Amino acid sequence: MITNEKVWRPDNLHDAWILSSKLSDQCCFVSGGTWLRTQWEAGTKEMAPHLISLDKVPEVKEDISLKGQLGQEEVVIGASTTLAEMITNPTLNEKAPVLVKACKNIAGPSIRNQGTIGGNILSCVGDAIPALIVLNAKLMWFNGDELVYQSIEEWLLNQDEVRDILVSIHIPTDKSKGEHYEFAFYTKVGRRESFIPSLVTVAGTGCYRKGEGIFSHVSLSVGGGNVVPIRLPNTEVKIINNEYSSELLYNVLRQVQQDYKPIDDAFGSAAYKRKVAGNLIVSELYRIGGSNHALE
Amino acid sequence: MSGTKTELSSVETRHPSFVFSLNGVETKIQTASSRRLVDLLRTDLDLPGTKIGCEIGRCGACMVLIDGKPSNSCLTMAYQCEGKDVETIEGMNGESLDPVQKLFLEEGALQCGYCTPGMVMSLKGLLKEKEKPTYEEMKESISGNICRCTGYGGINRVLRKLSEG
Repeated sequence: MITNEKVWRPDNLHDAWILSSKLSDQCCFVSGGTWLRTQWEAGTKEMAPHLISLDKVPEVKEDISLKGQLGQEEVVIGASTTLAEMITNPTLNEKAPVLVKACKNIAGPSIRNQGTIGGNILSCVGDAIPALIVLNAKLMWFNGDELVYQSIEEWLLNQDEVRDILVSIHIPTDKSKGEHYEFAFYTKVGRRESFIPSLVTVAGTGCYRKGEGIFSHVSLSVGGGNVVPIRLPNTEVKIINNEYSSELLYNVLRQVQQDYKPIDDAFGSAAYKRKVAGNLIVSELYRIGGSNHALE
Repeated sequence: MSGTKTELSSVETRHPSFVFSLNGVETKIQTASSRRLVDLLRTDLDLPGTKIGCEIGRCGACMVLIDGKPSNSCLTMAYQCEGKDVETIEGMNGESLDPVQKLFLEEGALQCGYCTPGMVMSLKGLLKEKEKPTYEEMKESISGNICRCTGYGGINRVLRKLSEG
């Protein structure tokens, strides 16, 4: 049993930031706390002498809402929104179903009642991240002076040590994709049906013009295990403005396996994970385009 | 706002008191803020029906309801219970058996019984949320509960019976 003598419970963002500045590396922010407690008990992370709970900070508890003008709307999600709240939210189900699907695939119902989207992101390996990447999500941080935006993709490339407070997640909903069929997919592969860490997770969004068989606006992401999820821009290039064909599928399969660099672990080799990632993305493209085009 | 104000408004005593409802009874307890709920229940409050298993939220043996929702008490800290409504398996200790408990007995859905309180609490959480959940919804609701005696056949029969009404 690991306990800590001080839990600070500031009631606003400024106070939380001042506390973290003063306590420096002796503190840690806590929201749901599920990921942190797991690490403390497993001995992979030491419990900080001071915990700063964000449960009374209204800014991070903002309800999921649609904001902005028509054509430039975005879904705003407070960082301490639980995964369960995200799954049942009507706005999110309408505007970002791929993210809802991702949340449904994280842990079990009881963890989702407590664990938050902010915590999932800050773990850097959370299963919601691939979905957020393909949705071009932005993170809003409080740095002590002001609120600043950063794309999740950019943050993942430079996330060494977080000092700022993650306030909210912003998902643009205007993609200007016209009337074409939009697709979104999210697939997680683990070692059993549910409540299992991911071996490989893929997510994708885009458009497919059925008449012409052409893909556009494609975004792809892959992650899983202890690997920080990445976007696959080189693979996207192989697909965008190209016609569905068996050659395209083979090109995509090869490119994913070149771009994705997972690591070996006790449950799966890097080569296996690369192959699974490639097969998952190709199977989704086949599902989207294969019904209109018999493979030659 | 000043840094001084921050310190004064946020500082806590070494062992603060927390008030919450426990099985319908207002309960006040003085403890470290980060102490786990499962330890409070079993050690301080003498309610050992909530079990300790994996201690990392994987097995569901420690399942309780917090504000009606299934929660892993091994992952919940004392301060997170403040003002909340906490229900444990002991809260079902009425004059007659709860229908879920009765079905577990009738279907032989337990061997050692260690996982059973957690299974029951997970199902009770779902039944609070939905009056008539489907079999699939019930199966999903206990996806965070593990039975090491491989008693899933009996547990599955409980879900079938419950879904049939």
